[in-house]
Amino acid sequence: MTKKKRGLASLAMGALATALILSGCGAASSGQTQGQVPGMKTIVVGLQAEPVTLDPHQVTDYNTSRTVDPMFERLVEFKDESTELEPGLAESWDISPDGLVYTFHLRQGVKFHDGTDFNAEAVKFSIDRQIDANHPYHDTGDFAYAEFTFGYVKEVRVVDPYTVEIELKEPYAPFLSNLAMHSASIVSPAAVQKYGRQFSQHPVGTGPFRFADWKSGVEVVLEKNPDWWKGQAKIDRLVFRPVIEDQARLTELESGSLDFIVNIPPDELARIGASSSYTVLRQPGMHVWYLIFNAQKPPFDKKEVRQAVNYAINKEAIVHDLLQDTGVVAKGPLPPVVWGSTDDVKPYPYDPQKAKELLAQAGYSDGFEVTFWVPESGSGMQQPKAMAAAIQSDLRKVGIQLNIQTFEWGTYLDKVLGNPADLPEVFEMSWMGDNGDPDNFLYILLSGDQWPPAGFNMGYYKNDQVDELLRQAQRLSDRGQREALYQQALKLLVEDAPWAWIDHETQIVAMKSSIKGFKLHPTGVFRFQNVDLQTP
Amino acid sequence: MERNDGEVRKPLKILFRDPWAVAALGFLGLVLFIAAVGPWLAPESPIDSNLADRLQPVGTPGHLLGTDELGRDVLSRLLYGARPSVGVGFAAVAVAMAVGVPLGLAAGYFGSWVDSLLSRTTDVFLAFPYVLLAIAVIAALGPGFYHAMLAVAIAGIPYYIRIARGSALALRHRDFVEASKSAGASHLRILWSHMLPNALSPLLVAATLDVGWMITAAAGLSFLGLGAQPPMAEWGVMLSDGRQFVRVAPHLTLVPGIAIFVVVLALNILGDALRDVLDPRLAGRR
Repeated sequence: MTKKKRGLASLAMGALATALILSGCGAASSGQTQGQVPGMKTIVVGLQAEPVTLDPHQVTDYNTSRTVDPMFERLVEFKDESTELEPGLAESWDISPDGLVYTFHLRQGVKFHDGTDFNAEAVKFSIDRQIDANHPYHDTGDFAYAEFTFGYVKEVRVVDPYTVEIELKEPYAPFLSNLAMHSASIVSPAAVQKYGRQFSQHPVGTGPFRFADWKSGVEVVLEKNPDWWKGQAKIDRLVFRPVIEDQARLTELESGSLDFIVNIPPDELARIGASSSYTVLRQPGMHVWYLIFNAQKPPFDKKEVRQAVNYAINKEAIVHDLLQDTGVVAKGPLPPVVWGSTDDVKPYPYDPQKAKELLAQAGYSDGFEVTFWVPESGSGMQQPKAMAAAIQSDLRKVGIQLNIQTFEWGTYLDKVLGNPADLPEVFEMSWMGDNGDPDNFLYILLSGDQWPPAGFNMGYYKNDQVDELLRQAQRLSDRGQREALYQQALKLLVEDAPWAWIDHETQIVAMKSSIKGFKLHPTGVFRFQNVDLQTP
Repeated sequence: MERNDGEVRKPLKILFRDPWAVAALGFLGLVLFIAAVGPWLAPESPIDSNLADRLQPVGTPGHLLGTDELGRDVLSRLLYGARPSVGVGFAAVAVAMAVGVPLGLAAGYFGSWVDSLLSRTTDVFLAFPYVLLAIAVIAALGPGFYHAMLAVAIAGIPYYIRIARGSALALRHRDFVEASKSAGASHLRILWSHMLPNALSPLLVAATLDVGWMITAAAGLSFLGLGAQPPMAEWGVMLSDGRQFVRVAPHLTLVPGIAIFVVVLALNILGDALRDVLDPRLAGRR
């Protein structure tokens, strides 16, 4: 998941100031960073921005989740390279036949980084802290994901020190997958009690790495947890550094001050990939990039107009040429790597003639002029400005005039999640899945129940038939039955075209070839516990 | 009046003796010509993308200066971009002068509380970094090319208040002003016929140097995404968008970068030359 909700305006100003200051010198050259230490195996990771917090319950963006993830664990975990589940801090679990009560049998002998014991109380604390407004530590953070993750939780009960029961208000099939998300991380109650709101700067979990240092604007340093229950990580230190400019980040990889980077400019990929000094990894992403039509305003309240835009955009050219095949063309809102996806939906090939016909049918044979909001950058937004200009150029050919307004990412999110009356007719957005469940795309992004602020249906789209199917699918536990419902909903949605979907971005990272054993994960977190560094 | 035709002609003569100034003037004339007719000279549309033909290098047949990340002809964008990019400097200076000069003259001429009020306000504005001031203006009005122009114009106003006030202070007790006063001329008439013409030399020098500064400032705002919006061809935007491709297609940053650089350099050379001929303190060195 990638959408930040709060505190972004201030972050935005900070980021701008930082960009101005750093563009010349680069964060890593400031001399006060820790970098490589002789005798220690260190990996320095270049991210797009600084983490907002180190509290896993407050994670809302990639840069934060990637920094936080190595320090924490959950009851259940995603397997390597997939969103299938495996036991984590819970050794096993039972689900009552009515799908309402989940009983977890916890792993014994696990200790938090501060030496306290992991037990059922810690599980209850970690969940109650987020959802119970009367919990004494509820005010120690802003939990943007609590509603999505635990919205259906009625009660968390400690049965004995190593058994915990979670009761739901109604059956909710994706719940177990939700328990593998960042918001379901188990934190040390003692640390939250000790630090209060400052827990976000003193994170304590059970993960393979523990917190060492955070120099604001410069780096976050993690070191290996020598007492990790699964053994020890092979590398000693992990350093996360914000380098805002994609080009600067790549330069720092090549100059040696970074070992591992994200968001390589597409046009540089071939060159980096051809070099034996670097390893480039790719994996189809749980991602979708789309234009949201404002369903509450003309002209996009008409289905024909929305379909016309889907025909009028040359998606193939955008993905192949502009993005250099760093994604695949989207055929609908759901990425093909997520189950429930189907190819049996209405296709929208590039066909400007068809688009014009549809516009004429809708009464817009002379076209129209609308406002189009675009962010400057943003996690998952790929190349928002260039893509916007390409779309603008395509739509001009069928008579649709888009007037682009660009905003800084933080401001942009505040605006698109703000007052619906101020929304333009069309704007850009992207989404990255959190848990591999289609519910995490279709329900949260397109259900009529998920208009902001409840969810992220930012175009205020509503289709009763789809809503009913999506709700039904939540209540069933059989995956086959759920899959059929999602495919049905998907067909209706693609026909109705609430968005113009463009592509599904491929996850790409580049690293020095001395880093061995790294595997990408569909959720976009980086797992360094099994990674080793080959010494030259 | 202390002005006569000889005083204008003489500096011009001196100016034309400086080959650098002549070259700068000639080049600026060319730029203004391009700004005026650029759109008719451009071989292609500056906004229609052609993704199959993107990032072509300089010298590609049909694309003299190559193509950008969307396959748009860079030469066409450069020619179309001349008008907004250069025009913004002149327009912003005009706006800043139109507001700043009357206020500055009034402050210097009337003195007392008028001067104190205007001067202290000016001090406050001068204490703001222009980017911050401009960002505040953009935040209030929303991003856009005209708003960016207004933002740099507003940021430039205090500068003209200062210069005009300085001139007026020096002039207010001169004999011809006192004579006008005793002859019963109104304040407005004195300001218009005596103060303004005599304050023009320093203002002209300042404005010439300032146009370059304004062009850079507006390009800077566009570079930060606060100014011109896509698909508008504007040199600051071209520079900003091209920066991502600096390695694979350096011409995307070099072409608009050199264009801004050369125009601003020409304006600075001309401004310096103008100062040399108009500044009385330098009179002996001519």
